[in-house]
Amino acid sequence: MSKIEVVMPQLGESLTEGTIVKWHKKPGDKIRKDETLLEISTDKVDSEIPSPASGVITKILFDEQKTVAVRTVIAEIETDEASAVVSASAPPPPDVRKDKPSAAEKAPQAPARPAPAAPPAPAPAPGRFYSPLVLSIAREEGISMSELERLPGTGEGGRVSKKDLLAYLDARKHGTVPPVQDTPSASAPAHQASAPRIESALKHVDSGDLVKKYPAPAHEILQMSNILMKMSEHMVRSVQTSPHVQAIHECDMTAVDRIRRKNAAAFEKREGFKLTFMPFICDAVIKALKQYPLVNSSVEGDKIILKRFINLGIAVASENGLIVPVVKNA
Amino acid sequence: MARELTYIEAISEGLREEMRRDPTVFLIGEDIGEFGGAFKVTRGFLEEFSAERVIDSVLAEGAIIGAATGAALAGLRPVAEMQFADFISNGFNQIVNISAKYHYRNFVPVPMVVRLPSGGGIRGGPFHSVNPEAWFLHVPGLKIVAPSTPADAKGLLVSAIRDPNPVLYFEHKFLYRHSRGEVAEGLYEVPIGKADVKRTGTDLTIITYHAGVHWALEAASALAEHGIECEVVDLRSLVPLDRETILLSVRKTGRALIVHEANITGGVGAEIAAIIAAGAFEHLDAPVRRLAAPDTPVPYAAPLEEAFLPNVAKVREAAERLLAY
Repeated sequence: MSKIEVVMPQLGESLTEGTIVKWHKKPGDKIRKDETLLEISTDKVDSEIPSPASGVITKILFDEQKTVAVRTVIAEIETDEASAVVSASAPPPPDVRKDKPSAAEKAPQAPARPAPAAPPAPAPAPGRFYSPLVLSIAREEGISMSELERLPGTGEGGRVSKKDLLAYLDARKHGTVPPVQDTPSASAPAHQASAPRIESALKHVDSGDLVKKYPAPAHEILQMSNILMKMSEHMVRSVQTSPHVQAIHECDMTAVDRIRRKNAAAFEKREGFKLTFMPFICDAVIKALKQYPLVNSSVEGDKIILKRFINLGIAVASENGLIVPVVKNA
Repeated sequence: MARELTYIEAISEGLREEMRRDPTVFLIGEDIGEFGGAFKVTRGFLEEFSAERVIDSVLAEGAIIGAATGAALAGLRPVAEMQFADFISNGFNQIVNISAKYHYRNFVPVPMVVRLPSGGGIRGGPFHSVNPEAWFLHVPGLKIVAPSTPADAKGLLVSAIRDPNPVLYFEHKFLYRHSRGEVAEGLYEVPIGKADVKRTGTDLTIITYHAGVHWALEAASALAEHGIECEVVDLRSLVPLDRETILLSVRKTGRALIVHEANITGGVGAEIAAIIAAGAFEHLDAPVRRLAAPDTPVPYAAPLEEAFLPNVAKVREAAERLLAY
């Protein structure tokens, strides 16, 4: 037996720290090499971090939501050296098959979570992988994609296996389980079941000073994700560093709309997405900036820096928050 | 009447009985006469069948295979022995360019067998342990068999001798004296191109051959104690491959683990994985995985050879990982 230390990885050259979003395992849990151990969030990206070895988690050194410097030890795994190095010795029999609860028993429950503060049961990640066999069975049995997506899985990383699906079908046939549906928790308002909103993906905070200051049920306190924090930080900085001026003019877009409609079908067929007004607007902005470079400038002391290039940012609302892709040298 | 024989005894018996039945069958190889062969497969053959039918050859595999090919074209049924399968590389041109193509070019049968003692686990090192079957899988015109049990060893040898094509008969050296089993008396054929399901199961298919069959069966027994039922498909023939049996099994279990002793890259397992991907895609509940030796020569040192070769524990671990997917 030997001990392996898991450190906060450096997911980009410029990154110095990461925030632990979620532990997938708790101390005492078995883990296989490359199985997801935790999720971390950095300024740039949210990632699932695979376990560097097979073994048993002996220590988890930081709670969820803690921000930790890169290369700090965050967990320890006790590993069987023989199997880790030459993988020659037989591991203990898998307990997946033993006492495995049927889908009927599992369906109404949220997956077990290490943290005591249980957030609303997370829907399985969208775009979760289904094996060709699971899809074949679902098609034959008339299981819709959304029904499939709500099914709990016992495979690697929560994958729905053939056994999971057959157990579900069997239980449904015998009426021991209702068709799976969203399981709103007590704290989740009913509107969450409809359109996915940013706030529905955030964790509820139910302890600390803020809870006393903003008591429930009149208030709900949510933990911001890194992306949301950066988004608000950048927007405030943007207001602080550059004057915002708005002028509103009416503009006749009839000709543009005519071109857009005329080419809509062919464009979508060729490019795979719809032709909107946005590229025409971008084009107009670029032409205008070229004509009036003073608008595309900054001030340093008593000097004006004219920029002879245009980096055009377009704010886009994404599932996770506001993101601004930049077209460089537009 | 069946009695228990070792794998090597079953091969000797098959050879001897075919030679008694058919006077056109003869043997050629290094040290097979007076010495009785490096592994004693042909001990006593010289006395029974004379030097005309048990030919001690020169130390030149190209000459052995070339002579056997010529004799086959002339209407005889030669069984050539490579002392170790490794050395067939010296006869590569004869087998690939002459034996394999003669029927295609000239419409004459080439009824010959090349016996290839192969496999590791006997501390033979890099020149006496190789499993070179994949080299020949790629050659149209050859048939390839690789039995795992004494009964299959005898029956496939009889079929190979009677087949009108060149047949490479891979016999596993570790199994020679480690594999025992019931073998029927008298001559019988095991059909070439027909796999054998050595154990039935519903959770996972292990497709393998030669020594791998024994690892798989033992791993399957251990897993059965935990309620996991593995099906073990013994290919027995590598050319032609029994696609139907492979696909039937994988369509049933939805999970396939391919096990062989030869190193992994470009091995028989790759071909089987492709067959499964093409023929059972919609039945797969997990990726097809291979367990095979790493891409290095076979090490001589005992601990290294043990680390190199697949074994029961490795098969079981691979099966468990695949089942957990």
